[in-house]
Amino acid sequence: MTDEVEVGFENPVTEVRSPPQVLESDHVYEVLSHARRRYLCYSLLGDAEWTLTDLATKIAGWENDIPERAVTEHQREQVYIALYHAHVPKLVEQNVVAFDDASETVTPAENADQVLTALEGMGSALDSAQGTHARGSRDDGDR
Amino acid sequence: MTGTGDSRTAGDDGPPPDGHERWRQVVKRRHEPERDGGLTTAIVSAIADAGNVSPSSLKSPPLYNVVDVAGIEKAFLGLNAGESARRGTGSVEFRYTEYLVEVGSDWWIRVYEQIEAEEPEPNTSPAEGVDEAGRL
Repeated sequence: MTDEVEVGFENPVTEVRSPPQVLESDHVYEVLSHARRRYLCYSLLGDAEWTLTDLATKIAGWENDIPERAVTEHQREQVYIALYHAHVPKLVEQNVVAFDDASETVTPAENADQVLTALEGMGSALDSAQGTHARGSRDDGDR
Repeated sequence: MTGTGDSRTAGDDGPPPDGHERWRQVVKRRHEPERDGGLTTAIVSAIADAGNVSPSSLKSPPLYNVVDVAGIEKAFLGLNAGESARRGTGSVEFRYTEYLVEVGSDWWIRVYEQIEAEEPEPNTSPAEGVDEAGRL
């Protein structure tokens, strides 16, 4: 990961980003406090690179309880916007994922392991259905 | 984030917030959590409407870098929680590119654009302003 790929999410107000380091557990849980972020992280457990559009489709399918091929453009767009403008920047800020502006792909960053480990730990109790769905193969799309 | 206890702008087509007389409201839409999902999506959609572009083409900058939407949501949900809760009103405003965006605790989102700089003031006397009539 170069710094360049993250440049689109640089916060102009707080230029200084803390060096990669172990996330405090508060941060881990904050990262994982939103269902869409958990889903995104679960997806990274299954596949280490996702385009934002594929993620949005997958999450919209999960949330609406429909197969991916039935996801409407509007449903996809609603999730896409939330990922692009809220969740991915937050994960980038915490160094959990890297985002490439040009290809709009999400990949794990330095702190991903830590978060994914925590996620696996809480998985069976909290979110097993979501995790199973997220890690399922991209079976019903030909993308 | 500027909270105000002032509800004067809560009226339907209220004037722009104080100190922003040079802004004109271009979009007003109510955020409905059940319909819209998150507040982020609602704000981005409102700004996109103001510029007549599709919400997914609005890219730069990510809203996350401009304003703490999760914080607004949390604060306003608190204000709106429970009938017996103290009813407060407030609003948050921020700049996004050329727009001024105001989010009220009543979930109304208003987008303002700057009123363009006026045409060079006619320093001439009224008698010489003959072209004015023709222009309109």
